[in-house]
Amino acid sequence: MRLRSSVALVSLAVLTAPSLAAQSGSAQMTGTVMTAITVTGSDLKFGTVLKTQTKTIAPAAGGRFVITLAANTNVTIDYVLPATLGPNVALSAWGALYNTVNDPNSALFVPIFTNTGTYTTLTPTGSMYIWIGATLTTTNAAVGSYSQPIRLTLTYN
Amino acid sequence: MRRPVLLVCFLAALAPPATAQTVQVNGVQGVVFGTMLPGAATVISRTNASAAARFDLRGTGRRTVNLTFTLPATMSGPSGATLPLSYAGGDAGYSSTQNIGNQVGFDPRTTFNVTLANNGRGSVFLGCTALPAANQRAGNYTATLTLTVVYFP
Repeated sequence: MRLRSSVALVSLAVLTAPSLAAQSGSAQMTGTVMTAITVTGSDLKFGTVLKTQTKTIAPAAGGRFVITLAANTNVTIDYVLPATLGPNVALSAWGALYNTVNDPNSALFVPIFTNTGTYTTLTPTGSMYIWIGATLTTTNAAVGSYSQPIRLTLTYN
Repeated sequence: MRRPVLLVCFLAALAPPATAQTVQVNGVQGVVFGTMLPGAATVISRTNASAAARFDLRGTGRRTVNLTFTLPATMSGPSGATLPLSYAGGDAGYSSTQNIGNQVGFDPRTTFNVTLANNGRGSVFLGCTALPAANQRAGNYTATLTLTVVYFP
């Protein structure tokens, strides 16, 4: 009699013990990858100049940067322009044309007052074209070839 | 002699059905990487309130629960593109006060036991790193992050 009752009570306890259920929750991880910015450039060439001379290359006939990036996204353009090409070979009166299509004739003129600066802009086409010109002044410069880099750095805002 | 046995069996039949002890898991927010640049890793800290993933737990006070993340290795993007994800040892954190500024860090790649607060609540946070390739296809990427919680026996 006692034995039977005990067995029955144990069974009752097992029947009512709660189970341990796993529960899960989820959330979405998200991110947006921007179009990689590419910049290619062609040289601003002054050609042959005399030892003492002033020569101006208009932006439309000067160097050109072709930039691809995400459309309609603000981007900062930092530029660094050389002040000279070498001893007695000075650069000045920088100017630039800006367009979202490859057409300097319909481009917007951008005055450049300093050799370093920053612009913030965007393009609806995902393309930018920048033409750059300047004035070169030689003052009894030594014979030879001269070159200096023009640097554009673009950063998404 | 048979009456007591019959009575006990009757009580067993009246006993309520077994119920599962569960803890609620609410995915409040996934990891938000925002805008990423090709070739540049984006690191999200578990203490970044606007970007770290957050799961809120609600269960029985002072109970120990076991946490297990199902971590996606990549996010899926446009035209089948994938973006690798990376997890480090301290990328996950738990706060019994549900305060992102007061976490105990742990490795999300392994299971981890924590104790719910007296009120049965707690929050789990996760950060990680996205590693877009230099030629990563532009566009939106997503992945599903899952946290599984069970009472520790």
